[in-house]
Amino acid sequence: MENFLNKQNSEELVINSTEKTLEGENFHEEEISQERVDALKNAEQEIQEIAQLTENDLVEVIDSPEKKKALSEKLTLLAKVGDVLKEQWPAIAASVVALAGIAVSLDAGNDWAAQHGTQLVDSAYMGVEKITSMIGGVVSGFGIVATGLLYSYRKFEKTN
Amino acid sequence: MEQEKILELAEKIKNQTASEEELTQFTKELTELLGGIKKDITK
Repeated sequence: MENFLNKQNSEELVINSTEKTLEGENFHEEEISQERVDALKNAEQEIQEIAQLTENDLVEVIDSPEKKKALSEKLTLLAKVGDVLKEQWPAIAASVVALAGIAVSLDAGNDWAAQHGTQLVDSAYMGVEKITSMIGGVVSGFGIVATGLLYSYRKFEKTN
Repeated sequence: MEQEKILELAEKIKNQTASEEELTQFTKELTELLGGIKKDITK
């Protein structure tokens, strides 16, 4: 299985992407409302916090079928949002696959995620011990995907 | 948060028909979704 959720590389990408979104792209504050500026900063804050989650944070989720299903649903919604926007931002397509792959690894019954996460669908049939070993990659993957989505959205704002 | 709402807003962004208010609302909905993901993991 292609492991594009390699933890070390993923953490580097999260750090680089987060730094870029926080400092690099200047908001054209004269063009967008302060309310939206504030909303974007709040979103960035959530992304940073997700990116800093550790493996221990996910252990409790992995052990609970109900929690896994709830998280799978949220990740699927995020993937669906990315799926709508991927035509404008092709880079999001990879994030959709990553998110869907994570979602189906948490809930093998998630049909939408299974269809869209083909690169990681095999993980849905792995044992708990193998899923546990993916925790590091999954946590990093959250940061990458969420950051990538927001970064692309900000680039969209600069051109519209 | 309704799933349909954030997806509708995403469609408007895709079609470049979203108003300033809708862009703001989309960002807020996205933030709420991200917060929910974080909460699911950390609770």
